[in-house]
Amino acid sequence: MRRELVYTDYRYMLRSMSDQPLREPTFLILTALAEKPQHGYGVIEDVQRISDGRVRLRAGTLYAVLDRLRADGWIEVDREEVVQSRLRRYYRLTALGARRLAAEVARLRHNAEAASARLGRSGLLADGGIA
Amino acid sequence: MSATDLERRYRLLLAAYPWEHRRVYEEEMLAVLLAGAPPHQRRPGLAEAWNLLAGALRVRLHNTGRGPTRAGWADAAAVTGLLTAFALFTLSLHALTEYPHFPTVSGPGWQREAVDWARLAGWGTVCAAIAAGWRWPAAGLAWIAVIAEATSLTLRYEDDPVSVVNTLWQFTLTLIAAATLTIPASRRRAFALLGARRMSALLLAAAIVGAVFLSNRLNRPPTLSTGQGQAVYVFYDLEATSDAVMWLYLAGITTAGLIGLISVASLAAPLRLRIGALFAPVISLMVLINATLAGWMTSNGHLDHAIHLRPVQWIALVGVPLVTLAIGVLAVQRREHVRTMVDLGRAVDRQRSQPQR
Repeated sequence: MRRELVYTDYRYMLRSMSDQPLREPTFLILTALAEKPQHGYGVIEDVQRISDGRVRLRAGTLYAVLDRLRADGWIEVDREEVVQSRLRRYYRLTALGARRLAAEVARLRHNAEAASARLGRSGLLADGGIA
Repeated sequence: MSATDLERRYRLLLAAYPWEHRRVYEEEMLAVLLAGAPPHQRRPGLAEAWNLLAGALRVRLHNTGRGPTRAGWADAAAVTGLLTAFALFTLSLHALTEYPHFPTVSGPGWQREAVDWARLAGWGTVCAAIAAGWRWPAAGLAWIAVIAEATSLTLRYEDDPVSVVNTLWQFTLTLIAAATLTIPASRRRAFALLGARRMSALLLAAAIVGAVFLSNRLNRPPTLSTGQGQAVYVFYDLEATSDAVMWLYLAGITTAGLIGLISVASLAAPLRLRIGALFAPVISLMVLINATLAGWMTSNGHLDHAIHLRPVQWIALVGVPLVTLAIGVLAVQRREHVRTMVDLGRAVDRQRSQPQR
């Protein structure tokens, strides 16, 4: 497999690395930030909503991912606020992060459609497939 | 009271994170942890505590391993690869002026001439490949040069260990060229970073060095057998019949060196420091050889048999450049990490000093 660097927004990433599937917490955090900037606790609540309560991020996981995403240039700080003497830092998706999330969505959709079509043709499911 | 207890205990757990991370995220994480805690909770839950400790470990491991892979180092490697290949090409121009003809197997000392010509052709090809954006062929040729130079050093060591030690810095440059050209970078990235002005300056520096070598060739003093008691000034391979000419040569070489130095020094600080860290092993090696092996070289010159280096001296010759490289890389990483964290911390402090919304 050919390995080359993609140069975008002053950052490099190996194409083969950028094509690797995102881990679920990373995918959900990027999804939570896709629509509007959010602060840490907002991201935790949104991820829980997006995943129908299945994924509840903890602070340790969240900030390990946020730190890495910032270092990779996929998200950036939008603004900071102090609410009830507590710091709130809002994060937003960058253009690079948006492209990476879109690529992951396309990959997942392609795989899901393939799985759905084959399950439908197999006749293994009583209702004929997946809604 | 329970909120204070809980906050204190969370802070205790957050202390497991590196201080740079705490400086940026501690208050924010604490706010998230307290916002997510049920009322009257006094202690962090076991799962939460475990998650924080595991997160701290992950951040520490990630911070340790991610440095050299980042864009800044890829840029520095691209520029260093080009500069090193170009410097080696410029130095090998020596062959062009020393032997202004292609070697023939019948001529005396043709092997040495052939090696010098191969060096010139090889580094010229590497530079051309970099200019054309063919990074892999350039890196491949540089690695072939490493193998060839290592073989040459090994073959010469038995009879002439002094010349081997004296040319170790050139071998180190060859190694740096090969290693840095191997690091992935986009096509012609080094040229984009250096810009047309610096590239012109570097070409001028190479032209000056070439002119000095050529002048040295054309105005070389006659050999001792035909000389008539004339004073000859010698500086490494440069020879001149007058003090003024020798100073002119040295001024030319110094000017070329300064042009190269200024070209690098005028780059942005993050790039400049990284390039400095990548070249530091060569400097430390030269300092080590001059500081500790001068006596050994003199002794070798006065004896009719070669004195070889002891194992501990070889360990120092290999170890010191490697340690210098490691210290340089870590120092650059540390400096930039601290600066980033301080900047982010200041942003937080400024935000705190503003009136509450």
